[in-house]
Amino acid sequence: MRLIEIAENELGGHQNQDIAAEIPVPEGWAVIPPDMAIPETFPFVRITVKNQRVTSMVAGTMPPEPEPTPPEPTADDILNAILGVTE
Amino acid sequence: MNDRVSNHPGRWVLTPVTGQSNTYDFTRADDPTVAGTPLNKASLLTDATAAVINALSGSTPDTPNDALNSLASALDTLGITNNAKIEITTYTGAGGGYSTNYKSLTFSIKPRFVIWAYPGSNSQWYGEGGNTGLTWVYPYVIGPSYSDGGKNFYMIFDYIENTKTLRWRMHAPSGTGSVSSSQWSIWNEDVSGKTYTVIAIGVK
Repeated sequence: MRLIEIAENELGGHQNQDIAAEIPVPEGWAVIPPDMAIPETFPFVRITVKNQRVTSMVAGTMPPEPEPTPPEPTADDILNAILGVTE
Repeated sequence: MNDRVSNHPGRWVLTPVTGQSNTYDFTRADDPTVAGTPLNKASLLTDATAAVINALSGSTPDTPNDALNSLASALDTLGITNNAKIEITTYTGAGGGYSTNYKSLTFSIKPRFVIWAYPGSNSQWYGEGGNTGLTWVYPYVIGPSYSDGGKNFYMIFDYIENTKTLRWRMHAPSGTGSVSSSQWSIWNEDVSGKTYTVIAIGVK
């Protein structure tokens, strides 16, 4: 069974879980019917829920790719910056 | 073991012992078609079997009852009598930055040992191998809330037995500072769109 948390996080994503066993649907979560189409943006989707069961699911907005993190400056870089060395 | 099969079950010949009053030799006269397995040391508890049980339990059984008792104790010590189960579940990362809200998974069994496994890097274990493309494993033994202690940032695990729910989140007692949202999602095992597999070993 596939489960989704009804509340979304600040990026519009939903916590979710796929498990073979039948488990009680946790509070605040809903079960996704097995025949429901899952948008490619999952888990960034907009859902409607009735009685802890998802009744509709449409694509949401994927968060932007994070910008690459610049490499940490080396000790030489720091020293050169202090000394004003450009090379 | 085999039962004895005979044409005249329970038939015996009694022969008086010469010179001894009221004393008889019993001889089977049941005409067996299958002799059956005799009840003796070789069929009930051999020395070799007793030695094997001794190796497991630390005591040498004298009787089959002792042997069964020793085996039950040994299995209990090993935890096998708890009928261990394995359950696998997956989830797709939803990203997100620092939050005091927990991520959570619910199981049908009561997990006692949990392993996170997924391909590639982007693990909470930053710095342990880099982008090797290998399967990362994050083991967690169910118990009191866990942290690696002593650091500004650490993982908190929390388990709720009655709902069989495991929760976790990264904790930042000194604030989130310059940590990016994407870094938080790595630490929280919740990178957007990434499929995580979680293997739980537990009991019913």
